[in-house]
Amino acid sequence: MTELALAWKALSGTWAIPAAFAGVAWGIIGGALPGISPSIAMALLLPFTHGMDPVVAIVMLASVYVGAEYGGSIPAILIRTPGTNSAAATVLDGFEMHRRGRGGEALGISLMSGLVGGMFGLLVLVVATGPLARVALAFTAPAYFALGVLGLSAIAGLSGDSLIKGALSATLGLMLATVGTDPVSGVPRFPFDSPDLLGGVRPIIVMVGLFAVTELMVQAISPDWEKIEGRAARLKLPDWATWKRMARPQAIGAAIGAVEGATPGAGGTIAAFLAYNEAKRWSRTPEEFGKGSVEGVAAPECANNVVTATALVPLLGLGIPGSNSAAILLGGLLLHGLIPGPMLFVKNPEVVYGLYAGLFVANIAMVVLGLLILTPCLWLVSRPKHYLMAFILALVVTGVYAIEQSLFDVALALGAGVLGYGLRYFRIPQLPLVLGVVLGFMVESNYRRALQISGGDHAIFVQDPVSLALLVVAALLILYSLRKSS
Amino acid sequence: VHAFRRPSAQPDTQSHARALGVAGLGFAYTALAAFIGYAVSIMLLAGAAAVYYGAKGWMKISLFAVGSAALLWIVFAWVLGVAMP
Repeated sequence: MTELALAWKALSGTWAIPAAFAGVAWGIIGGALPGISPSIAMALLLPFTHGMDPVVAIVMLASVYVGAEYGGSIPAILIRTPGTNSAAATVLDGFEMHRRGRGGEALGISLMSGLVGGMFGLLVLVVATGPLARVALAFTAPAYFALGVLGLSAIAGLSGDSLIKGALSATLGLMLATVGTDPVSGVPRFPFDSPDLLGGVRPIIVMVGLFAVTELMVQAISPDWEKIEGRAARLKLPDWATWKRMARPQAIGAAIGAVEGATPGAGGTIAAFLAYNEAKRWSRTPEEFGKGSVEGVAAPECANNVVTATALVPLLGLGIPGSNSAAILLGGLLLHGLIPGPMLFVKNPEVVYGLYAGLFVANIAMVVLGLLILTPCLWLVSRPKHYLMAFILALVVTGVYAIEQSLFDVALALGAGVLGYGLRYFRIPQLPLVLGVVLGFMVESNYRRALQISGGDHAIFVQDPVSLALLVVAALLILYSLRKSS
Repeated sequence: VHAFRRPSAQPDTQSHARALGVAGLGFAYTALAAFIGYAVSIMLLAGAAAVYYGAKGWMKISLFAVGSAALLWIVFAWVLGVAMP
């Protein structure tokens, strides 16, 4: 009951409901723009949340993720170009439906499957996160260090095609995290005679650079995307017969999305494709897949919307973001002085329960706005690409400056963008780097605290049973990744 | 979605230079903003970036640059109360 009261207070006493609607609207528009992933849409909004109430800010960012997953399916269905990576599976049958004059029906199936997936994901989030956080509360310094190592190993091993590349990326992130004043001894580290670097490199600046600036650079050398015709956009909600056909693929998508979302490094794209394949395997009419199947749209759309909530399970329960979007949300929490992880439940429960309630509102908002703003949204995303990209660049530099009123931060974000471009060229995953930057402090401070407790004896990391178990799992994950890549 | 992600469409050196040019525009803005102020520098950035991404027609580009600068100034300086350079 206390939790419900906190959630209600967060919703009614703040601007959380309008923020959820605004976040979803921005998410739908951002998701519908090819090249603007949910994480980029969230990163662009991050600076605006600086002066907001923490609950409102977090609800708004999470709502962008919800909206972007639906938004990504709009160009996937109408022009065969997924707006987000996780909408790629929707192209297979969504565009076929559109080609056969059933585009509006496909959009309706996407919207309602997204609602079912989002609500199911929220249920999993609420049920799973609390117990996980309670377990994590008992962790000691060695266990926290091992948890950080496990998070980095999981992401480095699972988020790309090579463990070496993942490890390289994570190491770069950890190196960036060491810049600034030493948290224990107070000694400046790698300030390069710049007072701006004494405070360290803020994760949020790195994220905006890696996600938004890198994409702006890539868009400068990518061809223009196809325009969506307004007349194609007449959304049609599914009738009872269609709902019955959607039930099985939605159940499959929900189950797969729950597992994949909570697994660090997996995410919506893998969940959507797995759900599509499984829905086809369990379908009574598998021959319809690829030819405009209702089930072929419902399964991936349900799965990737489940992920919008379940990706937050490791973030809220353990303080480890398992995806780019969760990392941005973590950046939002840090921006407001909130430390994600189990202590958030103790120190700022209103943020956690406010987020749960906000996600509920965001899923409702997705349906309302999905019906209302489709036409204006399509008009906006059909504007010439050069003006959109130019405006986004101006928005990025202004937004980054607004965080700390520092032009140095703007230059740092642009530098991170160049770094991100290099990473993409060499096909090195970016998420381990982001995780290295955000987990660097946790890993280092707990490592040193553990050694202070043990008097410098490293055996403390294997004497603590939780630490030992987590390190063993990390080692197994690395072995699995090595075997997979060989 | 992105040509960049397809192995068959790996960009050449010229393309890399073009991509880096976007960051270059940003760095130029950073250098200019401290001297000529936010309003003028962001207007120049928006206009230059539009041209760089392929926009044509000076009238449209000028209107876009002024409009973008005005919109961003209203949102950040006026509504959010950020002290701009």
